[in-house]
Amino acid sequence: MRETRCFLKISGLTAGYRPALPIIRDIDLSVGKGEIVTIIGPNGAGKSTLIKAIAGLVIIEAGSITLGETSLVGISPDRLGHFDLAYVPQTANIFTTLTVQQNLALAARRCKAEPKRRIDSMIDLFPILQERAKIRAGALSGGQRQVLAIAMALISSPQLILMDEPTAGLSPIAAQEVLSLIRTIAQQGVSVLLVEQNAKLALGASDRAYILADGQNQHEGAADAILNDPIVGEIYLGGKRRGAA
Amino acid sequence: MIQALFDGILVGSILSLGAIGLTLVMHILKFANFSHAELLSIGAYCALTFDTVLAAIAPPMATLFSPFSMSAALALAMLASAAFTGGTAIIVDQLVFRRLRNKAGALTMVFASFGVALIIRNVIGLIFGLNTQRYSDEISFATMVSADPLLLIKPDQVAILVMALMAMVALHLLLTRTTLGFALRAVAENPTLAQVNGIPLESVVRLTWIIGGGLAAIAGVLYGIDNQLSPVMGRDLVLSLFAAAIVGGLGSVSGAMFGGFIVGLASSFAILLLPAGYKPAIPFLVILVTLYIRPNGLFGETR
Repeated sequence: MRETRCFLKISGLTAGYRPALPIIRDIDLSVGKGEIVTIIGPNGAGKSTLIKAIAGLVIIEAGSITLGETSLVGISPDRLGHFDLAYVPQTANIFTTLTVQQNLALAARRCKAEPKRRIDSMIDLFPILQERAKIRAGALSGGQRQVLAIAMALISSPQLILMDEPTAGLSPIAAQEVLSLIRTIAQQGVSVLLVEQNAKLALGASDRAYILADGQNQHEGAADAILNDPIVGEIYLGGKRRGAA
Repeated sequence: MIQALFDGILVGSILSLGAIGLTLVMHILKFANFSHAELLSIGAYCALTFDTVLAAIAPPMATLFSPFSMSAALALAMLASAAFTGGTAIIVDQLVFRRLRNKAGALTMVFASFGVALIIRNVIGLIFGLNTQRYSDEISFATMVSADPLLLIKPDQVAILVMALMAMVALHLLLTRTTLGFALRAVAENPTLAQVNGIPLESVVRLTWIIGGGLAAIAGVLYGIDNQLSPVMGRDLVLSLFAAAIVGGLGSVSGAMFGGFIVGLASSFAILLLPAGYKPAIPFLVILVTLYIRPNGLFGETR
């Protein structure tokens, strides 16, 4: 586990899409600086709602969300950049009708200074984007779309990236590549909070994990401990209890 | 025949300007705004007022650019009316549509837009009277470009076509070359993603009204130059504007542009074949035929 000085801290968070109809209840969660934390759990557990609550996209009924010393409760999603925060949605995470270059130019509007230089640095970091710069983003492959989506998030040099199922719909090779990219990002000191369906794959790349079910925290711990815990494996990762037929 | 082609292109260029704004509003705000055509009336009458005031303040500005029946005052009045109409569209949005947007369904918004159209039309009638008016009482004579086949063109009509095309090119450049244009297209495609990429939705909504209102005002002035101003001009044009937007494919700016020309040409050629009384039915016919062949319009995305 890397440095775990608490960077993002969530306490007693209750949130949902409609007033008085919470999807997640009383959630506690923390992410350290440069740490990769994964939220796993069955469908409908509230994983995406939790990440959307941090991004200001759902209604927060109770609890606190702090990034460093700043409260994120009630922030407008269009001001994520002001809090050094970036959010990569699950599927429709690029503008398919714009070219790759136009997508980057749009994301660079969040940059506090030198947007042009930030676009160039993303193109240097991901050469595939240079090759595809002029084509419509809708024509990219699944893996390339995720690379573009991650580049759009990274362009504003965020301190924390929220990613909703970045490997969804990707081939195993492309999924590994995306997770290895996420590891590289974290090594540079950027904190990453992931939501993943592909639990085993995600846990392999993460420092810590939280298991959500029925909108509540069920378990938390080091990612490798969760991965190797047979009981957790049976309940949440589709494994079998030792000794079972 | 060639006369019908020219007339169709001329009417089409005006319809295109109106339909582009209509399709942008429909795409970004997700409702059919039946009061959009009234923005053409607001623009036309606004330019008439500005033109009169400018001519009174600075009489040399009212001098006509021969052979056109237009003056510097009218040109300036058109630009001022584009800004004024864009501002009016924002005010109407704040007073009516914004209040309904987050609470009511799209159908409520449509009915509200009918109400807004009625109010605007009657306020214009109240202020300017119900009689038709013209920007200039000078008679603009047509030039015979060709005797056989007969083609008569007024200098004003060439100016209208050039101004309409300039407005379309300006919009195209805005949408394809500027981050403001990318932001507008981004909100139309995926508002949530646009928001998390730092684009404030309300600013884009205002920009949409400014562009839609501005283009509608220019279309209204150009229509007024070629025809005459009437408080019911919006009502007369609303079906053709919708036909252009639907034929082009809702949400597609280039589609609305082509749609305008198609509806204009269809109306113009139909007069050669059908009694003039059938002219109002032509936009419906164009919608029916297009949707039968291409249900999403010519440039619409498959849903």
